[in-house]
Amino acid sequence: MDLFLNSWTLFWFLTINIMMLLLTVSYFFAERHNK
Amino acid sequence: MFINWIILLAAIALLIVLATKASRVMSADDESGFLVAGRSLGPFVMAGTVVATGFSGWGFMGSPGTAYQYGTIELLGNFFFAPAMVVAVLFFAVYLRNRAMKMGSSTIPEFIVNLHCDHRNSVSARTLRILTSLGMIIFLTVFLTAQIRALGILGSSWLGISPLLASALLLVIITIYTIAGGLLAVAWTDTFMVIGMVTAAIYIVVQVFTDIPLSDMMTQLNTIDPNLVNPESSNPYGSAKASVFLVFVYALIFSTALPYMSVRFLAMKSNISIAKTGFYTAILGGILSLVPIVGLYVRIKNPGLVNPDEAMPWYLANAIPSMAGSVITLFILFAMKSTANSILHTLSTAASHDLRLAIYDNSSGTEAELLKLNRLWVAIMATIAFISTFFLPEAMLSYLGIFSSGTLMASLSGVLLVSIFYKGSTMAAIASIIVGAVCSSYLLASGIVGWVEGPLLGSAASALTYVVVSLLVPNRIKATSEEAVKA
Repeated sequence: MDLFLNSWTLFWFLTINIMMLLLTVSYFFAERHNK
Repeated sequence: MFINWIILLAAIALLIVLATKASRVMSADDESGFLVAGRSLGPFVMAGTVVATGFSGWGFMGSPGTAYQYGTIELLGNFFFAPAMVVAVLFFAVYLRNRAMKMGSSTIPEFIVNLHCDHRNSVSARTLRILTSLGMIIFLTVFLTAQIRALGILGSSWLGISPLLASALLLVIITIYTIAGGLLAVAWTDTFMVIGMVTAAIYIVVQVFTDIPLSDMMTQLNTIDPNLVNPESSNPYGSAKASVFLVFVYALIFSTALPYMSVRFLAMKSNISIAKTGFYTAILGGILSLVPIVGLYVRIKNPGLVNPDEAMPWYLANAIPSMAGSVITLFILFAMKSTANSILHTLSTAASHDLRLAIYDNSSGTEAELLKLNRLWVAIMATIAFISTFFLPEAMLSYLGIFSSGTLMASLSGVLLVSIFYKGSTMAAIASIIVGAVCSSYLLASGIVGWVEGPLLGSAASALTYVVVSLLVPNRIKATSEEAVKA
């Protein structure tokens, strides 16, 4: 974790990866909820 | 070398089988089967074709070279294409598909005309259609030519033949399956190829991190140059740290306004699960984004490379067993081919479908004849692109790629992106396309701004023109109906 906090490029790489996955997962639930 | 030929022939056989199957599935008496795969693509094929088309040979060859030279900034910069494609799939694809279906549009120029013109046969509608399809034909031919040259260079060293012969061989394969199965064959072969590309990426990541764990890699890079790990600027993306985030905006316009990317959205099945499509896109795109790590690895293993672009070739030749190197080279060829076939398909339909409809009347030919015409034009455009390779300066390969795709996406961002929120007039569409193209090509040709900023400023100019001209010259219902009466 320290590694990602010590490098701003790696920090954003990890953060945006997580945001991207969260976005698709939240879409899954939204789609299921609408059915 | 002999083993490479066997690997290639096996891959060709598989691609041909897929294309034959696609041509059988695609309804032979229906033009929309060829143009938009009969609107039949499901989540995995959809994600596969979007990612395979978006990630060209750059992700495997150019990007590791940039990472070798500039460090982890390239890992972040190159990665932005994955979330941009996810956002395009989640928020743009359904809108585009639904609107296109409602208006009966099977290509991007047709969509643009139907959206902005009340009468398809009016002079202004025909002008807009000719402008859009001609622009696509010119810029996509240049882009395809650059891709064919890149295919030839990599294929020639892999197969031990001349670059010319290698590019001809690989182009013929692409042309055959595009002719056979239209967009469905392109999408299926893309999906097959993206599986190969992802396998290559996973192999590379596992090999690299087994040899040097991530934390050791960063410590060693930091010793070579702290800028490789914690850069003080966004170079090569710009001098401010935040500049790299512009790549996300660029990638978002790239995934939505480039016709060979967005035409895939028209081919989605009507009851498709968008969440699943987005999820597969995120996984495939996320894995492919890890490939530039090769550049960081080679920087530690061999810091003395004269040309940073040699990072990937050096890795394939020296860091892994030769058999693995051979197979990964095939998958890199796949990455280039999956982009080239999509460009070829979009390019040829702009000529065979849109230019024809803009110049002649709607009522020419039966569906079977139209299908033949579409297929013939794939062969014609492939031949034109191949002949153009003789005139292309090799040193400018990447530049021409950026120039043609960047200019095309800038010119179409008004009509494809701003129109989501605000529907403009026919004149605004025509003006925004011209302004976007002129602005972006001038900025890129003069070199006053970087490769990312040129198309972005061009897009902004196109968007602004679109809104301003719409307010100044709105569509006049009376005028257009008069035109229709005259026609």
